[in-house]
Amino acid sequence: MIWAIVILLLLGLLLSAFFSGSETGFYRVTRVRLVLDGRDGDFISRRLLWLTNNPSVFVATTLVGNNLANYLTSFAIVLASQAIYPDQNTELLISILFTPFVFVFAELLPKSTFNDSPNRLIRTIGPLFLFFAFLFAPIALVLWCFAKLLQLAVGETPLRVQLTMARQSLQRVFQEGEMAGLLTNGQRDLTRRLFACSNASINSLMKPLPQVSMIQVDSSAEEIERAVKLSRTATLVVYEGHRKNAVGYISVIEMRMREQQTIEQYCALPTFAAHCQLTEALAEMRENRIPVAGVTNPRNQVIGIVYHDDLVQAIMT
Amino acid sequence: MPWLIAMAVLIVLSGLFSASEAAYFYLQRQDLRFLAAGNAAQRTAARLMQQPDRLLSAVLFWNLVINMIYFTISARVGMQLENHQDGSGWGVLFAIGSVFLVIFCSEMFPKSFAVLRSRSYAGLVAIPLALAVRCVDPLLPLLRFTNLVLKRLFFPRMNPEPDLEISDLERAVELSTQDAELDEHEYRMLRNIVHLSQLRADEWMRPRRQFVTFRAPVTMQDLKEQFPPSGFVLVTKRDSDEIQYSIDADDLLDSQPGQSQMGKRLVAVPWCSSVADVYEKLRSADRQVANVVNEHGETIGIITIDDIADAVFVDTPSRTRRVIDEQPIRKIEHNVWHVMGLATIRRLEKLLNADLPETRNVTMQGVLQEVLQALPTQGDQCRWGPLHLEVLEAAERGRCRVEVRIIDPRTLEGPE
Repeated sequence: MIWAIVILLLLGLLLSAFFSGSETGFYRVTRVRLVLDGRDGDFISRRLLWLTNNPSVFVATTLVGNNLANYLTSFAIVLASQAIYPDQNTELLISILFTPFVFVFAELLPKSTFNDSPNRLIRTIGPLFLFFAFLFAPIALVLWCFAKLLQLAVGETPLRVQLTMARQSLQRVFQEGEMAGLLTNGQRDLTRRLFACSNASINSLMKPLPQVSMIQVDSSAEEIERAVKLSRTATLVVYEGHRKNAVGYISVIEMRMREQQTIEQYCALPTFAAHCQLTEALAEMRENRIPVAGVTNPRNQVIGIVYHDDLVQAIMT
Repeated sequence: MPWLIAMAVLIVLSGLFSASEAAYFYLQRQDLRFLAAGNAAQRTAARLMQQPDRLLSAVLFWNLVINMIYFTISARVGMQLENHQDGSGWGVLFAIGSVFLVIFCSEMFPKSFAVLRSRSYAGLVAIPLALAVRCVDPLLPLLRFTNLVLKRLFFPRMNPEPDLEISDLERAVELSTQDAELDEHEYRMLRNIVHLSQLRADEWMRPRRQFVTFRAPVTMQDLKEQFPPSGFVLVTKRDSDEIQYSIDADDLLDSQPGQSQMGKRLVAVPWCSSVADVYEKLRSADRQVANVVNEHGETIGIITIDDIADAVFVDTPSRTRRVIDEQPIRKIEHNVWHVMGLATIRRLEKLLNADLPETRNVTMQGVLQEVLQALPTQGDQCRWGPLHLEVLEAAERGRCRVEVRIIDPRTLEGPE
């Protein structure tokens, strides 16, 4: 008899610890991790993510399990007190005295352990928890209906996380990253600006030819100086004959260092089609150290100029 | 009847504590920020969450005391009913009923409601909850100490796990390419932005010997010899070698021949800070150049805003390529690579997919110096972990090119 009571007591404590810990684990688990593991094809993570998206189900599973476990423990205590002190009505007193022990082993220890390491532990106990979720499904169904009614009444739904990583979700991940201190505010700004520019073509940052300060191939030193003052950039676009015929660019600083008064040599003007993505043009210009490029129309005519610094500034400042 | 009344009261109390646990531990960071800026009760709620262990312990303790009393009464009444002459089966039914009653009325309903309205509920119960927490405060240190001892006894190697790690962000970017319809460049740039957190200033800086400085005051005439490839003229004070100012190339356009310039002061960053932090500092100080200092406060290199742009926008950023315009690591034949002295060990390790020996050095040059215990000279050979290193070219205290040969391919999963 006494062994049966001890086994009943231990079983109650173990089950209580399992459900108490997993409940805290579900509240604290990093959903992004479950999404990522789920996207990597992990079956358990997908199911666990479903459970975190449906809190009524995991709440039901942990509650049913925990209360059954606590009932088992209390029942074992009542049996033990009746066996040790028959006819003395000591059950309540023994139960209260036993509470700190239950509290430490079946509540505090598992909960604080899961609180410290929710992701790893939830993933470890996942299969067993899913088994209990299946076992208690009929009761969970009642609670699920209950929760739906509640949602209708209060007009709120719990936060859901999709098993996808669309732009919005990715931004949310970066936000969490910033809050966790992994990303700086500057990095977040960079991601925001990059997304803002995601569908932009270089057309949006192109300066139409008439607005560009250009110099003719055979410009005099005064004309070059005037163009520098007007544009306030170290790189000038060079044209031949007509302004529509942009052919290259020069570095004014290099000219000054070499004490050149007129253009002796210029770099050929690289071009991008007007529909070229801003990010693509930026990567290309950066990779090949191109400070300025022409933007062409479908007939391959240069219709404007795009500056590397403008593209960088669109994302970095 | 007195037992039933006691059970009803216990159910209500248990419900209040259960809901509190769910609501408080369902709060997200933004909820806590909102509560911290709210009314007195909401501020109390935020304060309670500043010591989550204390709150959790108190709530759980009260809930458990109440539930244990409830279940003991239930078990006792159930056994009495079962032992009654005509009560066969009623005791079991009572026990099952009492368990389900507590599940529904003091767990399911309150917790479901609390999860949906966690922020409002947390504020509502904050003051009575704070009182309940205070009541058990004297007992809890002993219980928490016992818990701590048991935790160290049962789980000695368990350390608190971070909410999120850089690797999670990298995985998120990796996985998002399809869902978020990121184009190739966008994906690489996002990956590079996240990587800024892991890139150390001394890994990305232009080393001190790789750039020229000018003594103040600087004129256009001084730059005749060589315009700095960093795009910035770095200026030292007359009586010091420490870089004090930087002048942007565009600012030189306004200078007249013979006119001197001082430029903008630099921002100092320690060698171990991340490039992300350097960017943050440059942004907040509205500067474009940071000098990287060692533990003695000496400048060991610089990082410009343009270098950071390189780290973000170039598909495969490389310091060696940026500073000396050469490919850092080049495959020559199977298991043989030519590696520039400035190439980082991290990059080499990644490229070879190898576990290289632990080292505090960042570059191949540093590793050579450590292994050879001397400055590398042409023809020097040594073994480093699974690699055989031979110095092909070496300039005085400057660049070197090394042939890296994998001598024990079994230790590597290296690419063909």
